[in-house]
Amino acid sequence: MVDTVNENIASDTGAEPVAVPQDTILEVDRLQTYFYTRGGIVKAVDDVSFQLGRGETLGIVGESGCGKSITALSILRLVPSPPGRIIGGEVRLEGRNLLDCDEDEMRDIRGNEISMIFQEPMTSLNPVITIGRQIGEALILHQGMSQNEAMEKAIEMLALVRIPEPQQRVKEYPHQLSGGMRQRVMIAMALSCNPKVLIADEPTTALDVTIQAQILELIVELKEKLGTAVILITHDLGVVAETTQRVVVMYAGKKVEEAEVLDLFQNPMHPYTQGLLSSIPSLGILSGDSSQVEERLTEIPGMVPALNDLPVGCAFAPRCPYADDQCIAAYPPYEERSSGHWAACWHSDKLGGRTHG
Amino acid sequence: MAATIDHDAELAKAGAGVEGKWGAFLYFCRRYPLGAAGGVISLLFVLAAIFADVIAPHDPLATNAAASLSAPDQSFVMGADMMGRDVYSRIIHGARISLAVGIGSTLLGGLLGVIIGLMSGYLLGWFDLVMQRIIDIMQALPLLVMALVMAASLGPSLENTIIAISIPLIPQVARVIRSNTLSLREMPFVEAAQALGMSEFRIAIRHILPNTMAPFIVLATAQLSSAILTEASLSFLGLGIPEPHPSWGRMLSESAAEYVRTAPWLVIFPGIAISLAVFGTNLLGDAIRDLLDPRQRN
Repeated sequence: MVDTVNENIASDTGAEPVAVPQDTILEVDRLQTYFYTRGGIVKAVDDVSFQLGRGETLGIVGESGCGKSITALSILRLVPSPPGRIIGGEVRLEGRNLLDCDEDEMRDIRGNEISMIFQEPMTSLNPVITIGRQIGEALILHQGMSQNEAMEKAIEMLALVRIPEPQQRVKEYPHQLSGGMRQRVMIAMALSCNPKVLIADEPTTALDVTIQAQILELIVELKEKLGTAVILITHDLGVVAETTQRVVVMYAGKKVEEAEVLDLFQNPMHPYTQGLLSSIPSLGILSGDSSQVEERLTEIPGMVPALNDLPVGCAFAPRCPYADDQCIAAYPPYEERSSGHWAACWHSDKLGGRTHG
Repeated sequence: MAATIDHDAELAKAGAGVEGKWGAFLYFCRRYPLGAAGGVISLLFVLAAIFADVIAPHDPLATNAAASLSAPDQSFVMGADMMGRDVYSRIIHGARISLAVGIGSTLLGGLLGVIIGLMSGYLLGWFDLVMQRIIDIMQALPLLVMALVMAASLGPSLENTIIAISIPLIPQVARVIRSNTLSLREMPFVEAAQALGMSEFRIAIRHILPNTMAPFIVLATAQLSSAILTEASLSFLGLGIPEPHPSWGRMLSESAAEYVRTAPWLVIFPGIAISLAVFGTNLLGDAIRDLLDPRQRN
């Protein structure tokens, strides 16, 4: 029964048939990144594990300060140190533990096998260097190309990210481009060495909505064309629904839920995910023809706890409508609640099957 | 009552319709007439230095007892000194020395300052701490006093004069570059470069250094004129360029006390040369600063 439902969904959306990825390219295993500050230990990433299949798109979702970006920086070993330190776990790229690599080996991996796109396209490009040379830099560095070869490849990459007149654009400076164009240039830079994994850290946050859609479309299209696996970090569940196959939900440095994207949307098993989902305005409310018009948009009460002062029990308990004594006393186990659907909540059973409208 | 606005005049003032290198040059002259004047003066000195052998009517080192202390006339346009050497020729050849010292020490001091500033600002830690304290000490001494000490300990020669003047120029450059580097190293494009697998050295040279060049150019033009002036002062005190090479400062010092009343041309013309050279480079430097600093535009 469940299988047929899944199959129907898959064929409806035209997405790849969902299956546990056989061919894992990147494995994050019990990663712990702590920040040692005056206020105490900040557990920015605590015991986070996930796997990324070849060519898969994985979404990491959570609100600001939940550890999404630090997870990404930890994979590339770019956590600012001090105060940050990766204190435990493993990050395996095709079986090779990146945390054991020395700095030289890491530099070979960054930009070459794992690339990253940042939030701020306006300032992520160097204002005094032409975009062609900036794209070419990684190629000269990692592929040993000559200046001329790199420039030709840069033009090719600009055409690939659909920047018009790439021959002219390649000689221009970042201030001559719009925000959306700069993010395209960043994508061109990140993909120029044909990396196995692309980490996109809120790639559309600084852009306006119409441009956001174009950039996401571009990332998905290039991912399919080049076979790159993508980790998409975002706080926008709409973005996740459109682009990813599997989603990891993080809260206060911990992974609280992981599931296939449709499963997660239809059947959230953690109250935090449920809260996130119900704080999205539904189309009925927007169009005004539903009986729900009078209904207020639900919000999650309270605030994210300070990461240096987490409660003993579930970090979400103070904000959770289902919280009881057990939640406050002990952290819930992270368990598989249904096939391929993991969650860390004492009350997942009560939540399960509750379909969000 | 709205004031009538002459659109064409406003556009011309803003530099619209400026085409090509020549047009841009003419616009610069109209917009910064003083800077253009400074540029012309500086250019004259550069030309004088390059073509000194052609322009100078006499050998600047040739003595002529018969012409000793002769007043300006047709053969000696600016008169002759005590040994009968032509002042005009000596001033033209002196431009070589002044420019060599000015440009040489600015470049040397600037290079050292940029290296120290970049390393301090990027590496931080103990290197920064030690370097900044050394620079504190250097900054506590006036430029001339330091140059004096350096020149006295190195001995008089052209190279030593350049070195002596360049050392006191380091602190200011190092401070400016360091403060710029401090803010630039936090820019997202540095993080992006790290994510592309670039080494720290490469990031410092390829990404941070080019971004610090605008303030450096402004500072360097200001230092050029103070280097020329310091050379004149050193030579005036007998510590700069040795005899018999014509240095403006030495020409002044040789004649100031003895001949200022009897042969004033020996004092006036080198004095004018020094003043003009400093004035010219200062005007040019101000214009470049205005041009590079958007906040100064109006």
